[in-house]
Amino acid sequence: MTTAWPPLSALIAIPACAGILCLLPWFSRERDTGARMCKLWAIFASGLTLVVLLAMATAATSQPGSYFNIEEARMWIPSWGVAFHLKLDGLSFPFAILTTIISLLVIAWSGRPATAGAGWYASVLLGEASVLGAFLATDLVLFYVFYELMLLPVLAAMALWGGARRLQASLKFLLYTMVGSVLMFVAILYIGYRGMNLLGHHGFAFDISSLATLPRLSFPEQVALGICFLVAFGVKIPAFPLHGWLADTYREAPHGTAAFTAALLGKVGIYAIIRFVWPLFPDLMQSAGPILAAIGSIGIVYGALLALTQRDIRSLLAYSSLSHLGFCVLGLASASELALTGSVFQAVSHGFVTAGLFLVFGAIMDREGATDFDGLGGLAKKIPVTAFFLMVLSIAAVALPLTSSFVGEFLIIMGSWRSFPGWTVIAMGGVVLGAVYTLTAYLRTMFGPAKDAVPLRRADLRGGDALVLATLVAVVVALGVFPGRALSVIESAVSLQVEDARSDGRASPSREFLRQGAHARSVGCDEGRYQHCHAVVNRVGS
Amino acid sequence: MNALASFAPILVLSLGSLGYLLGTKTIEKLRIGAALAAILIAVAAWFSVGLVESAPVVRYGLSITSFSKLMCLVACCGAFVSVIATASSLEKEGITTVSEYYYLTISSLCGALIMIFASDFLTLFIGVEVASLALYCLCGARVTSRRSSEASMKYFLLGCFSSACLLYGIAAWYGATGSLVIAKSNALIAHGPLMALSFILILVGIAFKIGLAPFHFWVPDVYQGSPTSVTTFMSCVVKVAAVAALVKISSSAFGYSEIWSSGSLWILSMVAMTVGNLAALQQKSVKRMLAYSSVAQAGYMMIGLAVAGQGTGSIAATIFYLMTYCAMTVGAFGVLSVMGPDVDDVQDLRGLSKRSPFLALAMTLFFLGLAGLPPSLAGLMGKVYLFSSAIAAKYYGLAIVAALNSALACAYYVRVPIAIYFQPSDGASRVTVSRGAVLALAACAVAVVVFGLLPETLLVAAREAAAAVGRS
Repeated sequence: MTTAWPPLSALIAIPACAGILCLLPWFSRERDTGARMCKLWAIFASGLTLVVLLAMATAATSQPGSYFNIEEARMWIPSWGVAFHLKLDGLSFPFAILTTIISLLVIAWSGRPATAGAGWYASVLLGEASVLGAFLATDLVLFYVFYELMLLPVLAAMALWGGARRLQASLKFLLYTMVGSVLMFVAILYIGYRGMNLLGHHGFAFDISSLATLPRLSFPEQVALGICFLVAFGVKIPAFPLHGWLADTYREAPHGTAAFTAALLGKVGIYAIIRFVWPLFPDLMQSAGPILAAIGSIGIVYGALLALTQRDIRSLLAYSSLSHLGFCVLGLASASELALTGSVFQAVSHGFVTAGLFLVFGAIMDREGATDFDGLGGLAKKIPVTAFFLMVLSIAAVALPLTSSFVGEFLIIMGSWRSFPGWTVIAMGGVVLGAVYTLTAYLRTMFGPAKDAVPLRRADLRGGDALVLATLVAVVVALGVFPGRALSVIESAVSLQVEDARSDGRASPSREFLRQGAHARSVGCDEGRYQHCHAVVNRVGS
Repeated sequence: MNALASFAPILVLSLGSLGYLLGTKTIEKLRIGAALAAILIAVAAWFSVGLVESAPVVRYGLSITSFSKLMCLVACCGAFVSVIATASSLEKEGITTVSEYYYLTISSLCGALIMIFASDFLTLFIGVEVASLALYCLCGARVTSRRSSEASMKYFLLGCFSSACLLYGIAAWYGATGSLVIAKSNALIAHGPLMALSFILILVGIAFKIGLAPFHFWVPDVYQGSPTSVTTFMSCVVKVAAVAALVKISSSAFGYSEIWSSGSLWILSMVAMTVGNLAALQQKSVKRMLAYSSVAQAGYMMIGLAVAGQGTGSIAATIFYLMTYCAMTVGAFGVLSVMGPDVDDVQDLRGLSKRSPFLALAMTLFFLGLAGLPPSLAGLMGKVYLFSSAIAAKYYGLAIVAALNSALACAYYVRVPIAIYFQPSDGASRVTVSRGAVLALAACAVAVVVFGLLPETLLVAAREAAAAVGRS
């Protein structure tokens, strides 16, 4: 373990404090005067978060051979054994970096909802803080708190500055996720209680790092509890039959919020399945693999087919998200390191691409005053800069080589091929459909007869916005061209999560090792243990 | 400690309340009357904290244990905050008889403390009557309002019925055991049908006072019709006293009776939370919504009592939840009271974020807390404790129903924050809030957040209290 200064909680504290400060103008009578100051302040705060995150990662990986793992642990509620335990490793780092970059870009983007003032920046910053908390927490109760918390800023932004049916849409979103997550809440309590009995100390055991040392849950327990977890995360991702909130939410939310939600909230579900569900319910995940693969593949094709028929721009983006995230679900279905790594990579890549698409189409919609494709056409000549960025992002969405999506989807297909050849073939069909609707959307927007009276070249992207999109495009291409380092970091962390499941019921080396150390259980893990684990994993892998 | 000291909080309140009856002009002034009430309550609370003793004492019909001390403190804090928060709204409600109002308030609190400290059934009954009689009058304090009179009448009639049940149950208990002491020692004496009858009647009597479904029919009308300042007081103090009484009874022979130890009380808990939430979903009036929500919340609290027979420390969960609930309900009704008697419908809260940012934020925190959503973590932590004690007692069905209920409840709780922040007002003016109310409501809001962020102190206190009841 690398202890670092500043501590990990700084990553949550900086945006949270900055966000609360941004709320202050809300209480004064003149709200709009503070907005511009708040923007600079918010850019500074989220930029600082990004810098701190990068500095931590650099420091942690600077020593050769060390396992990338930074932790911060302290007791939160001793009576229940709830710990404030944060962990930044190869699994949470990609998601954390996605969160910080997307938040920074959404803040820097000029498309703040017309009626929003300083509160807009508060909502993004508070959203960033809570999503980062969810990505870093390893204690289940702490995770649950952040998991619920991250809904509120998004819902507030949506209900304040969304479209005409914003209240219904936000209520629907809230109820979907609440019903999904309360059962997980009960399951968490059950697991904590069982942990208390097994570890024999006075508080519950909610920390995944100590839960992973316990003997496995029995299979019926795994089924009952695991399904609660999977349903909660399935709603969040969203996975195929649980996506009822998706289109309404993205249609009614302001563009920035839609980008934030699409890029980040669902990723918590994917992250949590690898972080919590695989280690806690290995047998369930092994036997439910075909079902998950089916859900993923059906989601890919179903989402693509729905996207093909949409005339509303944001509905198309919503269903294309469903389709692309189906790949992540497919990748989560098998214990193959390749597929899981691909799933993480695809999730991060989808975050960048879809945020870009929401922002670009948002800009186009604002310019044209249209929300469906029938009102668009022939824009390529009028707004060439926008057209260029939309081109690159569309190519990335289609997953052509040299973009990050290609790497993700390729790895997932490679990894799943051995376990689920049938579903993988169907998924590949979805790729073709994806190309059709994405490129059709591009054609309908950029070519054909012009339908607007806005003069040439006016209201094209301005400097700041172009910079935002350039950053997104640069990240997408960089990840597509040089995925190697990122993949190795992700893979080493992911393999730790599933190696217990891969050991096929035999006691896995690392669980056995962790169990030996469990008597001297501390909330964190010491450096030696982790290096040992890593060595064990390498041995198993080779 | 001399004999007088164990009576101290009750004595302070009952003697102090007499001061209001002197009828001097000074005391008729609102500020002085309210300040005197607040001081009396604070002194009572201070005495209750001062009742520190190494061993619990039971004498003169009162039992001074860490449980009763904690409950007394909670009731006094709730009453203190509600008196300060609602003082300025008495004028808006049209209550001019200040000295009588505070005389009745203090008497009612005094009765509640007697219920909390009671160690035998007769004292308990006296407490119930003192608290209730004063409240019957308070509910009708808005003499010009028909609703208020109706509430008073309704509460009185149903209250009498429940008191009769309680008294009859006590008589049956005496017939079965030959004693009035609330204790488990005489459990061995009687197991017959008389005990069962007694238990059921006493349970019904107390369930009426708590407002548990299916004995909740008075709750919405009384909560809505009474002056909001009275509702604020009642929603906390009566609930604390009645739940404390039920906890105490669970430690008596009844706690070991077949009905309780078989855990069939979980049905009552489940019915209360489901009925309360389903009814609250359909309410347009905020007060009625909160009234039905209090039925549902009482159902959650019953979880801890229902599974107490399994010996998993669940009473502590109920106590913890009760404390967090008091902060939320006093706050929520306090905000309504500050806004004046005309505010009833959810629509009346529209645009509150502009009319008074402070009240808007406070109200949102209270409602998120009731819904169990962050950042008001107190509600969530209370649910963690209750649900996990149900799981520890292997009542999985109860835990799942309770969890689904809390998801269902979100659907109506969020309507209030939505109205406050996301719906424009139609030109209503700014709400002025007195300084005392700001302080009191801010204290509640801070409590709702801090009880959840740093619950350890309260958890330890709740566990100690539960241990004192002997059912930990």
